[in-house]
Amino acid sequence: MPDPLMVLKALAVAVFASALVGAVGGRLSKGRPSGWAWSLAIGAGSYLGLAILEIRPRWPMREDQHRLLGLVLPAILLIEAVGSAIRPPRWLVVMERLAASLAVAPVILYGSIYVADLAGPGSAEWSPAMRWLIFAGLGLALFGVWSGMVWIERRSSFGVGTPLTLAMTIAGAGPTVMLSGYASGGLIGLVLAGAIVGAAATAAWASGDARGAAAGVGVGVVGLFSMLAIGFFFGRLRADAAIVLFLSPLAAAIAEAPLPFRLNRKGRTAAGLTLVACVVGLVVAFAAWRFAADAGIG
Amino acid sequence: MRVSAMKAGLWAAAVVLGCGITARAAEGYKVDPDHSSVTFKIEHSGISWIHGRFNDVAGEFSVDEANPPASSFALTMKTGSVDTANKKRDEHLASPDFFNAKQFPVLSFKSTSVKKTDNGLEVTGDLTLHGETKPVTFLLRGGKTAEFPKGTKRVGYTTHFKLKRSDFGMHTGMEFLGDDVYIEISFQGVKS
Repeated sequence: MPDPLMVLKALAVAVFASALVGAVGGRLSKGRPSGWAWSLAIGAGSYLGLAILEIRPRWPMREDQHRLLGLVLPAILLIEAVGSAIRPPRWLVVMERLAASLAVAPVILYGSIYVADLAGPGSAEWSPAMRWLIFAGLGLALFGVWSGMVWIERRSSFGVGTPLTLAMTIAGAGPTVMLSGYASGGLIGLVLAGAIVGAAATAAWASGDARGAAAGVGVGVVGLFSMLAIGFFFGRLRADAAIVLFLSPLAAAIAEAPLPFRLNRKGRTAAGLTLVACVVGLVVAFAAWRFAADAGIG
Repeated sequence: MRVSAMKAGLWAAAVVLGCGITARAAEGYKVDPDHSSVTFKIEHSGISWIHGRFNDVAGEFSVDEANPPASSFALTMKTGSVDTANKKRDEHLASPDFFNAKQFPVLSFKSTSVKKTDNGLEVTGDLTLHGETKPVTFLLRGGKTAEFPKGTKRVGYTTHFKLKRSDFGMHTGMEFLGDDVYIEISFQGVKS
């Protein structure tokens, strides 16, 4: 298991670096952090925090983790930053989101036993037809949750609540993946969550305005999906835990729905965060209990 | 024309027979997984050793006693079959923190040269582990033959060597697990 002090140090660096870069970016964009500032902040926080833990993409990118850190995360940060800067038409944003969603799983699973004949001819676990079906299913699931979170973020008048919801879920996915026998995979989640919190904190502190928070949503959803994918396909993360964690941020929508009693924007955000925290907390607690039971502890 | 056709036929027959004689000189064997084992040990916290093995071993080799450099050895192990008598630890070892069995399911060795020495065969070859291929050299002792069951000729060899896991890109847990891994391989081959 990783040294807890190093993990705390990495988390602190991720939060601080992200907040600092977000603040500078916000100043450059006239006091209100925009999408590119969010992307830059989350990227800086994540990679600096992971460097503390000596987790970094390596070349050639033979492993899932290297492809996640060397291709998927930079690509989504770039897409969100560029999208925020040039403000493309909405249909193009949706198409871009769909294309990115469909690309994540094939990149993460590239060259693995699922798709490649690594143990002799015909040894790939999925046939060509099956793999494209699975990739399409995973891509559409990611696109669906991503679109759902963007919808929640637009409805929420306190926009940093949505990235915070995702950060909380990723923070919960981290230990769950670690308990599934993939320690370094889980650490990526903890650091990414810290970086999102740093960027969100700066945005909230700067003006309370969440302009650009959609970038945090995109990075958060893709980051969560990727974490769960590496945990499930390369570690031993259970399918039920992965599915519940992936869908749990959508629980925040309940707080945004028309309710018989009125909540102010902070109340709605708090209610959404609480709902998601309950679901994530249950999954983490169950994973810890199962780990202890399997290991014969307690 | 007829004479040269006959000559060509004779040459062809001689070549085929010659090849047959050469093939008989080098004996081919298939590794018997039931009577072979690949075990390893690694230091934990600098105070004691953890022992493990790979349960899924396969391979083939050919031994040419008259011409040892013509011998060859190839062994493969499934990384997902790692067994240290602790299920949670084995799952962790198979994960991307160590072997990454879903990305690198096979650990393989293929000889590139074989030399006869006073103590046995000095075998050099390429070891592929965790996606990295590095040359390794070890002394292969044995070569004794037996018939088991009756009518089945088999030959056995043993070797041991040390490697650094960091050379193969396996860096996780350096603070509590040693870098040096001591490997012992003992295998029998059944004449194929």
